[in-house]
Amino acid sequence: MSIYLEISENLQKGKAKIVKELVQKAVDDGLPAAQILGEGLLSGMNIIGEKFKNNEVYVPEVLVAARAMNMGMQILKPLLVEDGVQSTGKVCIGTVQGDLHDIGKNLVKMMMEGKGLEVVDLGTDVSPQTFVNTAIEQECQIICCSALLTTTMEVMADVVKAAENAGIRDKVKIMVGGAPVTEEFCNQIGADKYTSDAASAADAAVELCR
Amino acid sequence: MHKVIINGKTEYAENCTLLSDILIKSGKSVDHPCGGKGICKKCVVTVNGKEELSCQYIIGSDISVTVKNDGEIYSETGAEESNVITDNLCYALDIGTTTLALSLVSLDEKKIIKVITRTNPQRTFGADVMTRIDYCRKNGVNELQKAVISEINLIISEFNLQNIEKLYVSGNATMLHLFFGIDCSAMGVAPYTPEFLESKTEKGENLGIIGVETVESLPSIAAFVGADLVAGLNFVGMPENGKHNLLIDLGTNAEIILFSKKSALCTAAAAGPCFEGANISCGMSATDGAICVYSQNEVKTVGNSPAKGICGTGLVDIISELIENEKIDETGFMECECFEIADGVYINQADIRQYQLAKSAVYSAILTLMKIKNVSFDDVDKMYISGGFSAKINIENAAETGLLPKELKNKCIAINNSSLLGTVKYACEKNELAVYIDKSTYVDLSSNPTFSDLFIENMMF
Repeated sequence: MSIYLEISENLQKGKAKIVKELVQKAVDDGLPAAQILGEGLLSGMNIIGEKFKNNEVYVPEVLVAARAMNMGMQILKPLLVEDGVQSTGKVCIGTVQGDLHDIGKNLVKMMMEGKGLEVVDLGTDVSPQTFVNTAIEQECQIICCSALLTTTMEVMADVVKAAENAGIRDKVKIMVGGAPVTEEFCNQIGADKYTSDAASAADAAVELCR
Repeated sequence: MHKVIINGKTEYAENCTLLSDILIKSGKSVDHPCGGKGICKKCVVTVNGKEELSCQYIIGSDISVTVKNDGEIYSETGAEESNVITDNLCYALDIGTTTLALSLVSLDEKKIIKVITRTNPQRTFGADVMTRIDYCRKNGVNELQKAVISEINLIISEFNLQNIEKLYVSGNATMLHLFFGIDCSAMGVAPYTPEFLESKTEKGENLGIIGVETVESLPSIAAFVGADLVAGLNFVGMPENGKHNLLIDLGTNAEIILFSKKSALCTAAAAGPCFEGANISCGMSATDGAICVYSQNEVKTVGNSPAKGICGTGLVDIISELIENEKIDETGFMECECFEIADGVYINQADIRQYQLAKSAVYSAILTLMKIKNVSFDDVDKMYISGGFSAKINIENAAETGLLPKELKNKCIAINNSSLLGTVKYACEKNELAVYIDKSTYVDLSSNPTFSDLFIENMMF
């Protein structure tokens, strides 16, 4: 079995310690960091993401896999920077103002990182202005908004407006998601993309960054 | 104007009106658990012979609509009725998000004479408190207030009595806001600020309630730990010295209080609407034809009617059975695509996932409170469960699926409508409720790291 496959399989099982050891071994063997990331960590997360989309695995499995991926990333990150490897894209994500629920948002973040995207996590209760300012300052291609409550999802419309007012609407894509959000709502407020689950959100984000 | 014939009765609608709005106006009880977003598919009606979602159907011509009447939601208050003839009477009312329960109480005998329960007519505006708050924010409080007050008046008229001096009312903070006609919009967004938590007294006529002199509400603890829980505490009373009790109100929001003589910790966990059947493929409320008891040897439905769907108690039983027969593994993975329960009634993988979210939210919230207070399972004397479906829930199966702690299943007491019973007790004994409020601390779970970790961990079976 190739070491990449070994990394991928252990990551899917959430064996964080083994993943870390294997990544270190691959680095010591002189394998390129970008390939360890792509064919090892990200390929494992991809499989988990697909299974999640098909309801075969659930939140806990995604979480342990993401934990394992982060352990591997700790070793790879400095090497990737050294090698000048670019991330697939940059995203800022947060739960909108008035809403403190973050489990869905965290899942999306993990799935996006699993696709090789760089994710700026703004946490919960994030104001429209914070989304927009972060997108400008950190040069994010996508703003990602999450809401669990019917009472808070309309803040997403304010995020779209804030992006318009800041004059960055043509430079940044806005994605929306969360239990009460629908495709229709997304169109209605003039956001760019709605997805119904975390794995599809990550796929869509990669698409939008191209 | 278009003619809309609903079950033979003619209504009129402006062009481009939503069918659900007309149904609400005509008083037809069509559930919109998702608040009219077209997600839950529970508001299906027949329009000109074709099935349509009433919340998405825009009226553009004359139509004929057939609405199937599911009837009343099955609910038990746990109250014992007795025949007493006395003049010293009062009403005690519990306004549940799902069910209204109004009882006539003899103050001399300290007994309930009769209880009448009805589905809360506000259900047509959304199944849970958040969709009601949202409706209130968009359309004002009047419609919601009017709906609940007219239903209360209907129940009162059934008692057929002269003026009664007092009506004591309890319910969650949102229901009490709507009852008093007070805007509850601020409770919809963090930091979830209620307009009032304290006890309120108002003249019956000012609220439009007929046949009642004065209305007095019980106080609430926090926005999502309302007077219904205070009444519940009042009903079960304090545990012995050094012991702790749990009171759990199971619903879309599961309210949980861990209390001792010295102090109380309370919280609300977002369990989601799966106990109401709202986000379950074949889910339904506990109305006619809902599977409410399930095991390999026994399938029972509400009203012994042919099985139409699954209600909360049935869901608990089915999942417990699937675990036992290893049809789902410990991660919740289901080996077959879907599992048929009865003719046309099934459960699938997505349903199991919804249940995992709900059961973990409740279980993890209980554990979080216990951790904060450093209370072990041995320290807990009793676990009371109340709420719409608690009366009929199989405790053994609930523990098996990880909704309630296995360690506490033998200490578990189901008390049906603790809010109503606690309100009756208050009406009879006028005991001080401030003790429950003063000693209580609210724990916000959404910002609690212990809860987040437990929530993920306990999603497994």
